[in-house]
Amino acid sequence: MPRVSPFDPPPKVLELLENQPISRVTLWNGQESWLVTGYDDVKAVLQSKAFSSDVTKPGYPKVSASLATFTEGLLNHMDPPEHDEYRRMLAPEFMVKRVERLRPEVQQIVDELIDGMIDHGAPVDLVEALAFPVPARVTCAMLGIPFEDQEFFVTCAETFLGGTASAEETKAAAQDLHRYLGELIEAKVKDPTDDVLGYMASVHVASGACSVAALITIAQLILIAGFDTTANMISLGLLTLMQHPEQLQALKDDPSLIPSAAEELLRFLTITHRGRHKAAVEDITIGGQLIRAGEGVICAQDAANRDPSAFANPNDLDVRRDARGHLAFGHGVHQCIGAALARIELQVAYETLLRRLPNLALAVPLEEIDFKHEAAVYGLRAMPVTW
Amino acid sequence: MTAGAIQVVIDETRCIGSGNCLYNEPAVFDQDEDDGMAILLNEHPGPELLDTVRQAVLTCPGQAIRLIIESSDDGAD
Repeated sequence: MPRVSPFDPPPKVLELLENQPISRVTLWNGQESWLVTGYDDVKAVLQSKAFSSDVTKPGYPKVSASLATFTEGLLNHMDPPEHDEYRRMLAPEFMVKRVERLRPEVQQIVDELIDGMIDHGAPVDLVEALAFPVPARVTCAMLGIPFEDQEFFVTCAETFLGGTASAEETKAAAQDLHRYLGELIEAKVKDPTDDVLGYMASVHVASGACSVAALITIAQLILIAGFDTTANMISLGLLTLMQHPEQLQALKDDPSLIPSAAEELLRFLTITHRGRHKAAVEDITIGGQLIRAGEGVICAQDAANRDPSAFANPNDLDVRRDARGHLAFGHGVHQCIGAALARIELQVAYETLLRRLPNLALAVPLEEIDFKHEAAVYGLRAMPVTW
Repeated sequence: MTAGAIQVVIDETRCIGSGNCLYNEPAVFDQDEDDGMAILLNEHPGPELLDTVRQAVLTCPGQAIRLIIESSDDGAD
């Protein structure tokens, strides 16, 4: 289902939201699935125990050849109660107050990168100069990945999520990452560090609650989920604001609107545009439609976040609205564990860029911007800017 | 029936420590420093917090929060 406007979900999806919020779709491989687009229905699916996230369950919708191939042990494809045990082990490291302590470090990283942009002089590709390095550095710092290994992870994340890698390339990238993380975790078991992997290694690996292999997989997920998503929200979010000059001006005039603007951009853009995928493991009725065990469901959060029953005038960008009920981070037990960190990164990046580079603008016509239509996470390949 | 006292209840077995509730209403919810699980700062918030507490209930990823609005004349709690 192709987009028409690069800032809106595909018209076909919005049409389904309006006319047939639970519908049948046929996937690339001929597999049939339910597509759920309504806000309440998406929430109902995502919080129901009648649905599994396990790709091996009958009916699980395989939305692409490369994705959902190497998912064993990945928390986002694991069901409760196993999922919840790991999630609770990680919770203290991702809690709001703990993550909030990283804000000064995020601010310093953003400031250094903007210094670099100014030293270089316009035009600069904002994706390469800031949008990608911010989450890359922050995620590495939080996990306890040495800075010098950052480039390696960026390459792996691209291979995983670019949407263009073959199954073999995806597998090779996974093996490289696996080997590296295994060595790093073994080192942290012996010599604990004050970071997520250090904490998990010294507390939960040492106690036997979490195996090294399980922690490797958790680290892979955090790395990959933490990089691309935030990077795309920084660049695409700014580009979206540029298309709404009155909203952009409101943010410059009143920076206290930045947190709600970040929430609204998350809602409006919902860059995880392939949705959440589930397999029904028991018969259940959602929004009046019987879904049988063994049938697949795709939850289109991008459509749900444009549902007028949840958000008034949903197709208008409004940085003043309370958008906190949005589903861009998902919902249910698989809701993004890094949401608090992502919020800080977005808030700091938007606020600092608008303050330090108030004349930030695209250096090329919008028509020349290359949008990642085929990628797992939607966004921009490059964003040349002047200021 | 007029709205009376508000009671908030957390089911610790369902909490996954997302901090979503704290984000929605920091005057009522917090996270335990040791395990990240939700804790109640105020079990009986005033009506001025009803909207944000309700938002916390609706968006809780583990469906771990219950909101009990007692009628003013039933004498409960």
